[in-house]
Amino acid sequence: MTRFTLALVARSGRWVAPAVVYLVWLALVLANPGPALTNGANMFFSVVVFAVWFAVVTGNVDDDPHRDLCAAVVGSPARLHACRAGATVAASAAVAVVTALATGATGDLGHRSLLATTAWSVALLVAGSLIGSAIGVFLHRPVIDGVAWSVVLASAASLAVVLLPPVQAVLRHLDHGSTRGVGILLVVAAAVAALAVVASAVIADRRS
Amino acid sequence: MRAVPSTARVELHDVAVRYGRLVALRDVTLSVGGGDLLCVRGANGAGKTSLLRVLAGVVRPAHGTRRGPARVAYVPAALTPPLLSAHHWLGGVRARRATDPLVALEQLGFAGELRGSCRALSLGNFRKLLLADALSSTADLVVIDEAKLGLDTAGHRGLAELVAASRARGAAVVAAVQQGESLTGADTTIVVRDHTIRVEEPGNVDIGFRGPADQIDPLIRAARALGFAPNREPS
Repeated sequence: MTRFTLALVARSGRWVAPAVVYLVWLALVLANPGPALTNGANMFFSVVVFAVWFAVVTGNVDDDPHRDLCAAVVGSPARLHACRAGATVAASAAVAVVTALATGATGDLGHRSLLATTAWSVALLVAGSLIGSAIGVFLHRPVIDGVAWSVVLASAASLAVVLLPPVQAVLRHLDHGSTRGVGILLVVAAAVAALAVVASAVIADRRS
Repeated sequence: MRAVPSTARVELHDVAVRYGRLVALRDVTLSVGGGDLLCVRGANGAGKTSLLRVLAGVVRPAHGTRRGPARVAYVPAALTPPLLSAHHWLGGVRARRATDPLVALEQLGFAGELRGSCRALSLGNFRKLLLADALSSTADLVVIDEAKLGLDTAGHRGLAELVAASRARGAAVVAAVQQGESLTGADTTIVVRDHTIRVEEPGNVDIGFRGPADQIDPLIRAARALGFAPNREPS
């Protein structure tokens, strides 16, 4: 069902808007590359936004009767919600990895090897994709019905995450060439994403 | 009609379905076993779709309990066709099949373009695609809303054959039709009226009543009094 969901999203064309925003952001960062880790930090917010947006697109990819059909196939609305969250995580993590490779390849490596720099960038940006997915799984049907509410809450939550002191601290360290806190951020993001998927699936089941 | 022994059984006990404050269904107790065909009739807005959705497990009862198989095939009454090709949709929506869906499509008289978008299919051909998907699945329970919607003569014939084949492999089938329509081979028919169910033609399917006695049609009550109808008395 995860692969089928990604096929639905791909053919719907609704991924184009978040992809364009992300690509413009990436082009701006890569046009004037600084240190590779700083480039990764600069892309963090765009990966969060992409993941949130992609989660909403994935959740709202079909109408309610088609979602019922798919929910019956996988066993329940909660399982379908989890499958779609899985599709979001897979797609946004792939985008995070590509971004890390691009920023690593074009930026100044300093005293680090390409492999180490890319690995830290992957960890940071995958954390961003997980945080974005964790937000996005609460912002589509059947958890939230109105697209307007999705947009308002997605914007507010994305900003709030990036302005959180622990995230700010990690990004500031990266700007100074230090990878302090990146590993912890990845672990916390993975735990938060897992909890968010479970909690939102329970809500989806109750609201179906 | 139970050619293959099956553990497939869906049971609703004292179920109510609500959408916000609206009560869409209430006081429903029934049990459909593997190989049974339950026909659900009713007017628009009576609660047929809510009954089918709760049977399919895609809506949680506001009251009461549902127990049923995990593998369910549900055909909604109306949905926006996805942008995938019919072939891609049929190949992707479920991993395993009991029979070849292309053979099922042929039985239903499908005349659309399989490689083209589902959006390009006529209503009838899209319905045939949905029916072929559900009735070629390995589901233990097949739930079909507006089973005859958009079907031509070949479609009606194919539907009856495919439903019979699904029952023969042990699946329970529940299908809704409009008032005045019937379903070939149905062994029990219920009518949904005023958001609850009444037995119209008793059969294998066990229908229970949790509401007042006047929920049972007078004819059925008379038949019961004479000892002809097999269903339970109201509790």
